[in-house]
Amino acid sequence: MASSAARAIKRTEPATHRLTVVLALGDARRAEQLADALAASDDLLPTLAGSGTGQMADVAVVDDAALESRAVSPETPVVLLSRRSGHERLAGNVFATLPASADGSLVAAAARLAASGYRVSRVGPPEVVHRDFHDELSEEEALDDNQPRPALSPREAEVLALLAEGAPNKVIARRLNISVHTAKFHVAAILIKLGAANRTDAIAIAMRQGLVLV
Amino acid sequence: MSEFNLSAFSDAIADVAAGAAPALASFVTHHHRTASAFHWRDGYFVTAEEAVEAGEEIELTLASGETIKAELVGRDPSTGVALLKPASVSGLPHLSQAGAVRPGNLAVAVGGSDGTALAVFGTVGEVGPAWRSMRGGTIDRRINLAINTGGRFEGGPVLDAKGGLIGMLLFGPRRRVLVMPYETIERAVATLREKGHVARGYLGAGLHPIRNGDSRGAMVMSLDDNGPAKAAGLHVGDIIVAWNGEAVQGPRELIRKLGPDSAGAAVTLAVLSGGAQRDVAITIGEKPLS
Repeated sequence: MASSAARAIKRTEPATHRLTVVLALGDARRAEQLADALAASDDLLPTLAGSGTGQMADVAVVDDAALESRAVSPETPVVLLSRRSGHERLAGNVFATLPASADGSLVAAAARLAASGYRVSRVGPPEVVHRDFHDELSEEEALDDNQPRPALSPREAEVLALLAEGAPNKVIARRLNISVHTAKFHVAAILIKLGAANRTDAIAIAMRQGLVLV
Repeated sequence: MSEFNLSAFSDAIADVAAGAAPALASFVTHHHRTASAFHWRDGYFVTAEEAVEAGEEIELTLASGETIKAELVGRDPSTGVALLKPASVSGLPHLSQAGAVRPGNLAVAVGGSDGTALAVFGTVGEVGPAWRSMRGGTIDRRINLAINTGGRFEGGPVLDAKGGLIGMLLFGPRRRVLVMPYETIERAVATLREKGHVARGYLGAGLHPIRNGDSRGAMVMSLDDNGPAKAAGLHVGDIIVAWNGEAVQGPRELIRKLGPDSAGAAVTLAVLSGGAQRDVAITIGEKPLS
């Protein structure tokens, strides 16, 4: 009885607050496409710049021109879709920089994070964390935290996905239509890139780094 | 005190090792060294899962020096057990279970290498309660050994002074020697014989560790369109911070919870998104553990 009451209470809780995302992009078609993509998530409410709701936005998605012309209030967290390469330094209210062609789900994720106050940056060289005291487990999580995400080639990513299903080299070769020798070569490259001692270790590391579905 | 006879003690240790020798086998691992295996029962051998390369043909060298091809029946990364079935063996003895062990009890680790018997002895360093492995396996007892062994002993039996089987020797993090207890192996073997694999809990999400000040969690980086996480309404960018009210520091801790017993369980995840925390009810899916 108690558990069904608890469930009923949970269900009547109000839906999560929808985040207002203002889109300030020179390319009107791209802006509309993105608005459609963001509107597909039930927690995001996209609006186009100039429609009067800009002041109330939780987060803004802008291009280089809109950023320079200060189209959005300096209080609003900004996700910049930049055509310039090497634009990695995050400054002021720019909380994330993504490539101009970034996919809708990535923009949505960056918008959620920026609205929560997170700065999203590309992984650089690992920093050393100095802490005087904490338990072994969070120490291990901290280690994962500072691992640069290994860059796998598209082929290696396919091989890793099959590895995670427990496929032996022979099966990997057959599924990807490559020779067993080539499959072995890819597996060896993955182990080196992940710093793994063996297959089991590679899968565990890949799971912790978001390279394999958990 | 004067009763103690060093050479009798020495022979007693060697006798314990010799008693187990007929059940031992070895094979060549992908690092071109050998690892140990031993006869469990009914013609099945167990060894350390990490030493076995997937899908490669395994050639077991028995104590007699005879080499036979063996099939990999299955592996369980949550307990570190791999089960092997050689084409035909008969008349091999199996090792009976040891009684209770205490810290300080004598332990003899034995193994094989190309038909040669290996043995080393020391003491049981620690006996603790059940614990959960990195891949979510429930390990019945924490048994650490104060024994210095090399990689050739990996997958071999650890015996008590009466020759009873305490468990299988494995290397933990930082190459610490630990024992996978008898009863844990027994459960893994039963599941592998029945299904060929061990299940794991499945969320259908790619996770990355994330930290903001003192709070930590696992951020959803990608979603399986047909997975439980997507069905439960998780989005890319959401941060999982708790599992059934217990804080989750990151993917490592979450993976530890997604062991074989989590498959099919109804769980409440606490999720941070857009600065607000909400509860998400999710039914954990199931995948073969590999």
